[in-house]
Amino acid sequence: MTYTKFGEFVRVLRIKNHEVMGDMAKMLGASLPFLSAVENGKKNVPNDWVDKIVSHYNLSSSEKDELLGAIEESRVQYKISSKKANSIQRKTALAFARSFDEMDDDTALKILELLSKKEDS
Amino acid sequence: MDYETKPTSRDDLRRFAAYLRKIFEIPPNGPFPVLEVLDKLSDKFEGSNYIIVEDKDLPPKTMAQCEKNNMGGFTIVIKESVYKGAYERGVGAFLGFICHEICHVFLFEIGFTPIYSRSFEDGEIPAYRSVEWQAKALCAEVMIPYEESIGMKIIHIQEKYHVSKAFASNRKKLERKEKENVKMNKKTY
Repeated sequence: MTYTKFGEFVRVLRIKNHEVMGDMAKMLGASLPFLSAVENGKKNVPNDWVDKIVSHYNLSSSEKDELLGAIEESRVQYKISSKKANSIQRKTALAFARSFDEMDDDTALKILELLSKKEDS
Repeated sequence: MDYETKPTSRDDLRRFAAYLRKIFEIPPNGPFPVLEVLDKLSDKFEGSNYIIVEDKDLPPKTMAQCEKNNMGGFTIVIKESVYKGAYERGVGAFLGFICHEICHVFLFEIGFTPIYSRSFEDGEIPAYRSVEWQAKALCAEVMIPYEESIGMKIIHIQEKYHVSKAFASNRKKLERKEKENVKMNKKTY
């Protein structure tokens, strides 16, 4: 178990601002075990934390981008809403989710390429 | 439960304490900022970190523990109530529990690892070879700088260094014992 990019980012922020995890948990309105689990990649970063962190630590726009990048890299779960999906889309999402853990890089790159082409067109 | 490791002495641990403070850029005297040091752990000991867990995730009598992790370092696991007590109320005993685990990480990193995989009951191993005694004694030396605290009253030790009454009392006992040993030319463990 190690710090995620997000965990590392906020840990450094705390040190720079002479704060400890207790201060940050209080500022975010989160419990200590929850914040710790997020920092160590067991839970996703809640959406409302970005604004709280940016405002509390007075982050510049480039630091905010860095924070958003760190959050994206630290994501441990993705949610896909199938509310408006048709049957083929649902089947695709399920097949993707089922094969995700064993997917090799070649297959992943092929899928990425296919989706990029679709976006470009 | 305890483990046997290579021997060390009180004098060595006192030197280690000064070194540990230096590593974390903490002045040689004054209180030891346990929670700030906790956040710097991974900077100084690669692969080591800490996590805070709900109280139910550790056995009732365990306040915090140090575990080998899969990144080549150690993870300090701390009960939420222990961290909260240390953070919100500055409870000396809780700061001591956390500092004790930091000392385990430090001692393991400098080679004071268990010699055998088998564990021993408390008190079975001579103090100077005991993993637990070494961490406890180092923790006291780190939190209460020896030279600076000589002659201080228990209450003042408690207040100045944010330690428990038991910890401060032990320091006074040690101070008296060391004075006697100096007179009798004996070594203190």
